[in-house]
Amino acid sequence: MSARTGFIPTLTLLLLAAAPAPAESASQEGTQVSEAMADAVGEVLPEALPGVEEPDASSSSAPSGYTPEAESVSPFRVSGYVDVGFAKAQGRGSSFHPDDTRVPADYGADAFAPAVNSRGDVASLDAGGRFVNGFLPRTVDIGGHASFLLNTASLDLFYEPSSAPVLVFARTQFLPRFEKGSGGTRLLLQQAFGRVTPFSGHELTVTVGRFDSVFGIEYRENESPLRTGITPSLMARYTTGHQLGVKSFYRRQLPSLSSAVSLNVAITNSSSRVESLQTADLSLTGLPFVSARLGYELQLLRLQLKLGMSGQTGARNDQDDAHVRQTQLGADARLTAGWFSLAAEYVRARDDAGSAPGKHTGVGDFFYASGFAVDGFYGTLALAVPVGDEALRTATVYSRYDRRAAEFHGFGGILTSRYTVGTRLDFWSVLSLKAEYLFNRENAGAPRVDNDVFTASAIYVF
Amino acid sequence: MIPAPFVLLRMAIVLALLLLATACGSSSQGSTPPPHIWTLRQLREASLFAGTIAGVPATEWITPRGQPIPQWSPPFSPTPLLQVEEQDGLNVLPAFSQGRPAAFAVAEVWERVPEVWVQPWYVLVTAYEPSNPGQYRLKDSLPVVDIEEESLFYSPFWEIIYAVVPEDTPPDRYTSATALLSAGLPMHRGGGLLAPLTPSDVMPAIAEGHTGPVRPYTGEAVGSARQGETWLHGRRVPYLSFGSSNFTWSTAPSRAGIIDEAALYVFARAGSEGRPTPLGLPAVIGTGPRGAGQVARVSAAGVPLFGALSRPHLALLPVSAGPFVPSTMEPLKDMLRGEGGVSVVDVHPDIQARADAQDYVLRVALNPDCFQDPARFPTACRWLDSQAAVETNLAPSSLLPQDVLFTSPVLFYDGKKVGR
Repeated sequence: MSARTGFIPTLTLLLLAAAPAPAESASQEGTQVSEAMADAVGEVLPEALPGVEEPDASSSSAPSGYTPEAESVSPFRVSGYVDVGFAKAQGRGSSFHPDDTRVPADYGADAFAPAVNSRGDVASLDAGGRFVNGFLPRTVDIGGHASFLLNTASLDLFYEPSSAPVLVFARTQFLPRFEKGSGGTRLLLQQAFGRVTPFSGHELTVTVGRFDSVFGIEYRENESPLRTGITPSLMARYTTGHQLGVKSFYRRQLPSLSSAVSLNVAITNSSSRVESLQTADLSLTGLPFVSARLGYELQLLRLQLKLGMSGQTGARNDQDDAHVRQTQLGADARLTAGWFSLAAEYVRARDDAGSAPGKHTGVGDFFYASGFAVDGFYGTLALAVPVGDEALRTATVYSRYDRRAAEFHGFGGILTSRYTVGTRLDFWSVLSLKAEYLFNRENAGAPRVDNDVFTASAIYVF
Repeated sequence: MIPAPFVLLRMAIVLALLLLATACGSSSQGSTPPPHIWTLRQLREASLFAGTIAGVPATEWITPRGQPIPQWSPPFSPTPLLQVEEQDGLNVLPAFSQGRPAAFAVAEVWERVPEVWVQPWYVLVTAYEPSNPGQYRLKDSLPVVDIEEESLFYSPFWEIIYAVVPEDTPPDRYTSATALLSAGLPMHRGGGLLAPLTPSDVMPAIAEGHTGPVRPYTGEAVGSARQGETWLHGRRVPYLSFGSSNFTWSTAPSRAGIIDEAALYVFARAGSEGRPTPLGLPAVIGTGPRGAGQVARVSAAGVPLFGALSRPHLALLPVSAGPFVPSTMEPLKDMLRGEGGVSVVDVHPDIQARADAQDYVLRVALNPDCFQDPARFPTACRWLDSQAAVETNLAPSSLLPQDVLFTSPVLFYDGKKVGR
């Protein structure tokens, strides 16, 4: 597909997003729009983090007696969190079998399986000196040893002037890592964007910069305070990367159906893969990546259902040829009923093979971008019980099942799965304690290896 | 009426997209041919349909059954000899190495693939005996491999891994590397094996009237290969083994598992419009990469540990250089003289009558006049018959590396056949 023809559907989608919506009743605005900003737009903003939520007007006590005049609210805000972890992985902490001499080592095992934190960092990438070809996550390099970890120290800067419908946001993250095998400590500007909400009566935003993916739903839990559990799913590597470019979100309420439909469209340098697989920082091919998610929401008093379909296509941004394509489709569903919540997502991706040697990822340069296919899904069931205690607000238990079938061209497919069980306790809205166990399974194609993980996390939000 | 802000926003979006589309469209680059491994199966197909690979007719490397073998046909031979009808033939290509006659075959061509890795080849044994690792091989079992020919990481260069299984193990119990590794069997490394996955009816070429493959021009018996089957992802696939301990690979951390390649110098002349044109003369098998100055490493059995993975370089000859062409190859002389680019000197009858004259057939000398001086032959000749001689005597600019690699099993070295 040529560059110009690739833009036709994009243009159509964005024009649809930009089209004026019929006037809606004023009563639909206000809280709905506010909720949309924290929910569906995609950016994980400070107000979405526990502890910095907007006050709930309905729950505040009525003022009595003297009430001072409201102070002017500063357009600047600072927030963030600190995620301190503790993890212990089985075996050597990697998915690489010590007797396996096949190369590339990362084609015959799932290097992402032994994750220890919400970033998807794994305990180890020790392949025993074997050649690898860049299908790798980041690592904290603890091997099979138990260790405390400072997973993330995250700082959000937020500017929202009252005089303009503009939000400027930057998220900086400190990732302290021991130098030996992890690549060392990094300072990451994970998000930096400006977002315009041009019409006060419409849920339409246009965002430019580096932002969360628009594909699927798991990107919404990129930050550890927002993730029910600790570790990402086995499919997160394809959907939770950040993207640099422009995106537009539009949502229309359908009050007679207690429903809403939304469209999120992005034109970016790269796909929604995590940065260890593809960089978002520049386009290596000159062609943009087009991503979109179409969503439907059913909002009832005791039940909330959200469904979505996602797609993206473009030139692989881990190699240099604009004719080498990558396409990805997904479907997602979320159901919340009382204390229970269920989330599930399916992802299917196909990558063409590179036309020349050379593969460039966030963790380095490698030999070749092989043809690749993957299908997989996960489902998470959580029970969040409100606790009346002043300190302990919520106690949650959760379980997730992941399954992933992937194949690099000519190498033979591998099928892996994972059971995750865990618990989470939320205190005072500023502290979350989590613990979970990952049962990683190599079902076919990859040799069985001890790579289960116990991990725990304490997250302080400010 | 549409409110003004909508109009402005839509205009801005359309304008921005048009600009973006223009910028992206202009930066779109042309597609280049992808890297490709021409497997023996594909070489055979190309040969059957008169195809070319990397600019070379595939028939130079494979002769379909019943067809004339190029190295045994005019102008090298007065009458063509045909490949036997039972199988297609992997042509035996005469060469020189370390100043001695040699021969090799081209079994695979790696086009635009810069490196080749060693892959594991699992052999099931019921006990491991280091002095003879194959002694206790599980009866009727096949080896196991895990990489398909379609992958760019396919390799005919295997590292043998002996997996120790219980004696009562059914021979077809393990048909994939995953099953072997998951079983947690004891494993022992056992050296290299050169064995391309291949159709079962391709072997080193045998001319009609011969019982085995021979070196063209000189008629010496050269090594052949052994056919077999291996498990690949649960399927039985044929392979062609050229034997063990005939290549090496790197163990350096940054290059672990990369097969060591050797330069292969193919003599050429500057053709029309300055394009180098191969002369069809025996090539020179190097002992290591170009310029490495590597000594020739040979196993205790006399098998060279180099040359099985070679990178061809076109070696442009000066017009004063020329090959040793005996009078039995008059058509070749005429052809070379007609094409130009090299000197073709008539060999003195006394030299042609020497017992060792066949060792020099088509060997290239910088000073072919020495072919006319029986008293000083061969010492007076400045031969281009080794990597060192080529790299010393030809200008670096005359040595043109090609963006291909050959799987090139050496079949004849230092006067002896290599392999079966």
